[in-house]
Amino acid sequence: MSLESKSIFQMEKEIADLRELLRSKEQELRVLKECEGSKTHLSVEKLSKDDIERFSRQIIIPSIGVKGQQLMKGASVLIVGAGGLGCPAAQYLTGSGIGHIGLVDYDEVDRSNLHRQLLHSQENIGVSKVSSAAEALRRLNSNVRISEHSLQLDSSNALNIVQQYDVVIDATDNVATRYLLNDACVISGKPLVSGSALRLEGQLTVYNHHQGPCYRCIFPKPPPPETVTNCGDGGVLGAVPGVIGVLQALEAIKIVLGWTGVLSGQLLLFSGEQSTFRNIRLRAKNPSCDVCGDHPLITKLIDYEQFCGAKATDKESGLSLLKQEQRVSPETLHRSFICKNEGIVIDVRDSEEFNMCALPNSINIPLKKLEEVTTIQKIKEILDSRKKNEENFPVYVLCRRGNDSQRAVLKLEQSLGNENVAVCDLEGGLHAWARAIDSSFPIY
Amino acid sequence: MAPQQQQEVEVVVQQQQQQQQGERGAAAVSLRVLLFAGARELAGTAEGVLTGVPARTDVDHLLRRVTEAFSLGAMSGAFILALNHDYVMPGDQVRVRDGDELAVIPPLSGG
Repeated sequence: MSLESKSIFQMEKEIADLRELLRSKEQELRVLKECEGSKTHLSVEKLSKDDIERFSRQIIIPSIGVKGQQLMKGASVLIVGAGGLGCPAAQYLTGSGIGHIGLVDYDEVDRSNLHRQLLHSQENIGVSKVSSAAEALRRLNSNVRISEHSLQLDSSNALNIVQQYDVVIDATDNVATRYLLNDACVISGKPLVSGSALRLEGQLTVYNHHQGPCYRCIFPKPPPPETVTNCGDGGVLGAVPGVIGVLQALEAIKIVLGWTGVLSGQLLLFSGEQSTFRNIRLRAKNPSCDVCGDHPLITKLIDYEQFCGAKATDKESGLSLLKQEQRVSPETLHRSFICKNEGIVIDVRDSEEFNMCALPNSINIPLKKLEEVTTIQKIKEILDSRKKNEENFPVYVLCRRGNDSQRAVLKLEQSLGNENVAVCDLEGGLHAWARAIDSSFPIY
Repeated sequence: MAPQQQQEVEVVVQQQQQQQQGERGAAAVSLRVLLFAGARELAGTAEGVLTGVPARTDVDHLLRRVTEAFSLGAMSGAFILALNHDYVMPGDQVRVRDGDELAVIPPLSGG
């Protein structure tokens, strides 16, 4: 390591330590202020000089007025998920003067979040999302009380947290947590502002508000896990959850203000591609709904991962479909394919991902094309030109994280059964490759 | 009149009759189908047409037809249908007209 890089490293560490110190001092100060506040019995609803100056632009709207602003100051909103939806929602709610905001997230800030989760800054990569977002929100308005729930919401803690707030915002990224939040809101009698986004599409609706339907009234059956795409696999354009998250903040404010035009019993479909909003009128509350119906079957929270057959995160867990001898380590692949030029490498990611970054001389055949006859023919032609009379010619298959590559090996073993090849996958995918062999290779 | 011409005339007359019947709600019509979220991925298209739909039908029939025509079997039971922006429920009887919009909406869960 050069002298310069040593001192850069040293300085980065010092700055990180100072940040940590700053964070703990700010926390101390908050606790002191809260004690002070409770001693003087400040009326939460009374607007201060700061409040009036800060919120004058919305107070002068006749339908809000001082009364509306006081309602907002006395209100509390829970935002579950401090990501692409939760960041803009939290930002606008804090800006508008909602008195108490709760944030729930178990995750830490990752570089791949930064294009859409705009409360987090690049200095906060690796920091818990809840404290990163809370820090940014306090900079925006230090009078707002921000409660940090840095945890995975589950059946054991959801009711306790949800019950502390007036309105709940579903800004999560997975099906299991959506059913959990729905049931927790029905059981606690809280309105749920539900938003979601993927690629260029968004959805928005308000559940369980003034006798309106709940999530289960509309979608009683969870989608089969294999038909669910998350942002990590499907991609998402940052401004799309931005639009939906801001609309979630707006719906929460309308609920707090007691307005009638709340998006309950309606589903808003947003197309970022066409710039269209489509409003679908939904059904009324279902009298035989499992949770909010006349004779509910679900009266306490259940196991939602089991109910949905999927994890309550947007991260795919490691599959194990192959025998150990069908898998190679990054080191083995490097020795064989890169150093000795043995075999071929088939990369089964989609072409967009392959174009972003790929191993040199690897061949891109997306997983979904592996069953096409023409694809298999193409692979056979490549093999004919490369393998000559070699026995057990290596065919290495890889993908991003080492799950799809296993599925691909199983398919290829069937279609290349007579080709005298040894089909293996790269265990852990390109993520493992980047960690073990090439640190300059992007992990996304 | 040549036999082929005669056949063509018959077809036209039949179509006219069907159209007239359609106005009274008895014949077959075509629906404009819009596919959202995962349904779009499974179908491989955002829009399509469902032909030969009886003008008086029920939602279960629409569900069956749309599932079959757009290969939505993998998510059967996990999407809703909206006819001209109104949710329709399995078991409901509906009247459809030529060009009506049928939206196939599975829930999005990302965020």
